Amino acid sequence: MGSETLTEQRPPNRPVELARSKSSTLSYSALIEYSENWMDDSFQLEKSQVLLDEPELIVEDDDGDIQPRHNTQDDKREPVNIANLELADSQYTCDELLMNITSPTREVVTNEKRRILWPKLLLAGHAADKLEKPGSLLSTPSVASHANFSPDSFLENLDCVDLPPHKDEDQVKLDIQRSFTMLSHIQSISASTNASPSASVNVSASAGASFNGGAGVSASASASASASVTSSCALSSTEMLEKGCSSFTTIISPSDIKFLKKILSNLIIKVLRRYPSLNYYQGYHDIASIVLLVCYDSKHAELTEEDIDQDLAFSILEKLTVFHLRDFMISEISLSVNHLRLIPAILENADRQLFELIKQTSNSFLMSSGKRYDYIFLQGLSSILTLFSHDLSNLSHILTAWDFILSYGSVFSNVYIYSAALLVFKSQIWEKLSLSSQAEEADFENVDPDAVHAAISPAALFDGINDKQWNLVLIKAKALIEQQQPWAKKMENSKWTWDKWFVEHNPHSVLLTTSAIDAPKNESFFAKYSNLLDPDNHALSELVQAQDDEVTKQTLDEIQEQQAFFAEEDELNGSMDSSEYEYHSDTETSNINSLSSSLTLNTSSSLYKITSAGAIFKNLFSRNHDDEEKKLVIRNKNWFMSRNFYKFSIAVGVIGFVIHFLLIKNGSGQFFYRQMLASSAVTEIKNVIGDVGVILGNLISTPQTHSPNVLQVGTGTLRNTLYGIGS
Amino acid sequence: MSSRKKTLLKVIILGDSGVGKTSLMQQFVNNKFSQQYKATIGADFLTKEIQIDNNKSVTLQIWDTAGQERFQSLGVAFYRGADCCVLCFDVTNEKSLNNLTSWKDEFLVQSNVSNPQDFPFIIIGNKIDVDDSKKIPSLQKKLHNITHNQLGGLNYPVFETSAKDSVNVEAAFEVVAKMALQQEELNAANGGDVNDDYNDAINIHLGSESSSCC
Repeated sequence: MGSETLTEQRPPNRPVELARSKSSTLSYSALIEYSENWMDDSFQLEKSQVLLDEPELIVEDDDGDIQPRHNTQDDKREPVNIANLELADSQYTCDELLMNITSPTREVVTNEKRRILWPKLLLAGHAADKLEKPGSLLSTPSVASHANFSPDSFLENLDCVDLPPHKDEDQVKLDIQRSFTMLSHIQSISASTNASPSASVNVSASAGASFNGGAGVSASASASASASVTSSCALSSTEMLEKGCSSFTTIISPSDIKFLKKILSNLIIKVLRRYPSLNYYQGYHDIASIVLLVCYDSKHAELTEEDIDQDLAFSILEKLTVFHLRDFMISEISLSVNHLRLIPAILENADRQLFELIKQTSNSFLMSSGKRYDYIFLQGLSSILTLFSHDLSNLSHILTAWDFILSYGSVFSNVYIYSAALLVFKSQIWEKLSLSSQAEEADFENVDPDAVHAAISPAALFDGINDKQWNLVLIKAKALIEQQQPWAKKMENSKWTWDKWFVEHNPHSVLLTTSAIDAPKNESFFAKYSNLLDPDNHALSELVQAQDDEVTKQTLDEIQEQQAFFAEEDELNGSMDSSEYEYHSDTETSNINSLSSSLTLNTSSSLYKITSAGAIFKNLFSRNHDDEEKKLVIRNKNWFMSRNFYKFSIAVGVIGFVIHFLLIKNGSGQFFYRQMLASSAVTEIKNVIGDVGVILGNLISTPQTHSPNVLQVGTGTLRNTLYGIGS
Repeated sequence: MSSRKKTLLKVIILGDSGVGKTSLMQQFVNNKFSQQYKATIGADFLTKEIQIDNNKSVTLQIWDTAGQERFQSLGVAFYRGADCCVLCFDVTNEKSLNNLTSWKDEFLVQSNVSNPQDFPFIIIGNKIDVDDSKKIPSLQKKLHNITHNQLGGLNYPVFETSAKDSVNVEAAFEVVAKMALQQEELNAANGGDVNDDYNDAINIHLGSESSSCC
């Protein structure tokens, strides 16, 4: 089969393919037709551009990429495509793409195709369309000047310069300097490596002819790794890779990269200035750079501004940001942590042993002597925040991951991919940790948590991953999604995982709104949310505000839960002997301290937080006050006291945290406090605060001994802060 | 820990975004430098075995962290059990110098170390290879102000390094290793539990504080 490909001249390739995979061609043109429905007159220009692009697309494919397929495969693929056709209408793009990605004999998705598919999947054309109106900042240039587009005039017209700078622009600048490392990587390989993979796979040889070294290296890796695999699989994966990389082979000169960085900077800043309520995070630049690369259409040997469709890039990134990445861009990072928590939760249902390993080496488990597990899983952070663009070094892998995620229309698939990777590489992880491979082994008490951290981190997981493995990961991810979704209905652990973190606490998360995995992504779905893209409307900033409040509430709830847990523990273990009790509560407290500071600090990054925490605190108390008046008469006085004391303790805790925030976060105040604390009084203050807990503890050493303990948490945190600052 | 097996010392590198934390770690562990390190997201570590003092062999586990403030609150997951903390700044970026104190404070709050008052820190000013004209004006004076400030000053050893040209990196990490070893032994003597009660820890170690560094 390979030889056929090799000898075949390229021009006939495409027609053969067109004739063969009729259905895919059909859906492709249907897709364009579909897009027409959403485009009003102002978008006709763009559409005709798209249509004009099509012949070009074929031509370019012909000289750029090979299509090593032959007729015997057609029979296999045919049913798949027919199935796609049946699903036509609104979902076929997703299904087609998805089927394709996860089928062993997949078709290549070119970037030309992505430039059409991705905006559709993101409903990019549509949402913008809704917003078109005179005077709207962005719409005017993006519509009117498409035909004679000039980036300079575009930027000027765009007025992104006129918009006030975004607070995170300094960070953006720093990260831009470190962007496109992947391209420079490819560049360095292509300089040093001669891409001539083993001759056993014929396709690779032809790959070497037209593709850069990066592709060649991976191709040889996949060739050797897939020696035992059916040739069709090896074939298709090589083919994938070529397609993925082909468009970027020309943009690897240092000056090109410099140029790309400039465009990237414009792109990111444009989006941020337009949506000032969103916060930039490190890793967002990786996302934007992938968008930019997909919008790059190589026409010339040298990179020029015309080669990058910046309007399209903006449109894609904008939708991706607002609809899918929003959770990562609110003030707090704890919502991103919620996303990550889904990974162990998915594994809990899929592979108990792997779950136990992660659980038993987690911070919360170790610090509570195995009594609590909070599912916090930070290892996948960079992959989740960047949709894998930070961690995969093979561009085509990134692009297929994005195809996968976008075709589900949900970043939920993100955590599924990571979980799937852990499952696929389980034996590797076990090997690294020298664990016995016995299936029933589930005691990992003696495993080094740091070694586990390293083994399940993206760096280890995705290091040298080949096409076949990555394909397996995506297939596994798809299977997991089919098994587990909708989670709330199918999964046993939903009650204390998904339901709690998202349905109950964060109903405005993208996972339940704009990036919901089970929502049909049709016109009416996005019509519902299109106002988020309107800069004149405060829908987005209100939404972000609401999400901030939700996640703060969650953090506070979790602290309380944690304190209640330790109070309970204390009650169970605690002795009535007061001296023993004191000793016990002291050690226990420092435990709680560290745990609760872990939670609180999640909320510590802005002063805004303090006010909203204060608001919640006020609610807690005003309700409390009502209680007091109404129930005072009928309540047993003792019980009442301890109950309120308990609340009071929590209140002191919250106040403690608030003061802590003030001390830490308020730059100018900090100096004052430090000065104050630096005086000799500091030790006394510390002592007093330390003692307050004990005194109050003695004061109310009723059977409800948990109250003083909780109080100590608050004072403990204060103490913590004071030590930090005083020392 | 009482047994004379391999000693593992956990070191955390902190500092503003872009000061060169990853470069320092890479230069020390792998003896290489690249302009192209990706921005660090989350935290990761590398280990290196070195000999200190009387040929004692220790393994340094060096944690490289994200510089963006946004990720700071996640530190609690990574700082646990740290034996030494490296505070980095960029000699061309004054803000990164001024932020050292808040990095230190945040570290102490999150790591919950047993001896916050004499926990070993070290300061590294990176990028000394850069042209003098770009450096912070009167850096030494400002540095002195920060390290010798009576009010919560950072009275710690200071190293000026270039991860790019491999200047002073080894020397700095050797001191890191020594300080970390001291801390580790302190913890071991203390029962080996990093979560020991504060008051005890303070009372016991106050006496030895002055000898522990600088």
